[in-house]
Amino acid sequence: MPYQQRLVTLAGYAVLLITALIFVFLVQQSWPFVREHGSLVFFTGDRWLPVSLPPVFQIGGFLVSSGIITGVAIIIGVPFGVLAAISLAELLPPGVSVIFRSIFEVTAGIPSVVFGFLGLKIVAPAVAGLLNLPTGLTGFSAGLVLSIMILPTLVSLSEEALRAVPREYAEASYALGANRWQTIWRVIVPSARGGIGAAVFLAMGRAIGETMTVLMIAGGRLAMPTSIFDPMRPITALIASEVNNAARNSMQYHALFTAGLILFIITFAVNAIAASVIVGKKAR
Amino acid sequence: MRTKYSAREIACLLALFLTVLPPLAAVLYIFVQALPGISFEFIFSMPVRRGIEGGILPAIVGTLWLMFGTTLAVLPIGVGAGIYLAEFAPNNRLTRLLEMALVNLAGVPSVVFGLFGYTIFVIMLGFGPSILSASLTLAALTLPLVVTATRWQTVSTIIMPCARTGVVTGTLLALARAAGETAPILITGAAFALPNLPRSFMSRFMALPYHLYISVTQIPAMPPERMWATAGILLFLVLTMQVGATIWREQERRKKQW
Repeated sequence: MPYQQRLVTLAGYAVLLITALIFVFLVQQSWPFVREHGSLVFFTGDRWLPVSLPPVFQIGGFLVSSGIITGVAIIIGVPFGVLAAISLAELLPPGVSVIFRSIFEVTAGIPSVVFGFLGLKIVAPAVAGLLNLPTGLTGFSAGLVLSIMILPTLVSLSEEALRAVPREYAEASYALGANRWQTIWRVIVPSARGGIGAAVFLAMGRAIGETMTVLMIAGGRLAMPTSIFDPMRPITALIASEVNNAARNSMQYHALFTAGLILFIITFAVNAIAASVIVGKKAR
Repeated sequence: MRTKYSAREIACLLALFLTVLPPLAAVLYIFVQALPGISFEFIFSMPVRRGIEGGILPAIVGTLWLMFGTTLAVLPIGVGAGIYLAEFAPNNRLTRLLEMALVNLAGVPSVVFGLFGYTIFVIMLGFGPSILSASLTLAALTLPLVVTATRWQTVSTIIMPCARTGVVTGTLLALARAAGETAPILITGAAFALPNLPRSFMSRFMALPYHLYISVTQIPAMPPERMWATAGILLFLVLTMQVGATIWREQERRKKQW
């Protein structure tokens, strides 16, 4: 094997190693907490009192908050994303599609702290005003902003899935007398549903893991949310807001790493579902 | 020839417009709001009174350091792995595992990268809270971008000239991410309102996204035009590279077509 090939092979395995190391370090840093406090109530309870005596660490409220915010983002984002993808793949001439695709690519780069800032200045006051809420810093506001942030992922991958549908399917549909919309809606979209599903899961993974936006807009309340219009604190915001103040190797520190481990496992599972669709398709 | 659209198709196109409108409007709005706060002094002087007066030079310089450090660290591994996947990876289980790892690495939440970087770089390897620790953390985060971009452009036999397009695209995307990420640098060395510029890779540092975050959430006396100006400069920096990546790729693609 020439040495260049050996070098790039090494680089390839480095990617594998880094992914594995992230998991290993999260487990290692979580272990002191899991050993002493590990129980089911960690997931189901909603009391987080890191400095009381004795301290209480329960992340149920944060998990529910992450779920609510992700749900809002997906419910608002997916219909728009799929319809936009249909426009790009099937309705617009290629020259026009390229322009829109470039816009999505560029806006995918807007930093999440900038979205958080805008959410704080514009979205939150608007939500509070329109819905007559005491504060606009709610799970709904965070989900609303996230729905915009996940659109580039949704649109580009859904479009790819639509384009991958063999042209013969559409031609057969036209030959049977179907018009364009019938062909799109009854033939092309159903044939692409695997790829669109993968897009939705990847977007979901992104929404669950998003940190700065939810840290700034979701409101940060520790208690279990009772409505999507409550201020809440998702799991990413919990970690980002406390990790700097937790004394190193304190129980709070290890509890935060445990929360990070749970977050890693959730996003890993969601992404693995998407990856199995994508990688599986390539293997065929 | 004009294409005619049915009512449902028009609804579809409307959805497309509604999806591009908010981000475009956001970018425009930020630039307009940022203009009054941007001055020579704001860009080129040190922060005074926790950034309420003076400028944000250390944040701009800190972000440039981070971009430089991240690129230096991510390029060898990212390009290497991209070429490996495109050229040499056999069709077996291990390669599929590698592909799964790549997709999942791209999906790891940024705050988790922060925890990882803190444990391995700040504590275990003893780099402390520093530009070095933060850059290496951001390199892990941007790795999938570089691998994917390199791999996508690498076509058999004449490897490097073809990989080049992907390498440039991947680098620009990685630079944009390194400039814009907040959560990973939160725990690996970012600091607020430092009185001087970083001296080496071992220095603590200011960075634009972190400066914006703290200004907005923890400094009630911060004049709004300073927050908008910070957001505007950050956005300008990031979008320049993002636009660069898109234009570069489209041009190279066109060149190759004939």
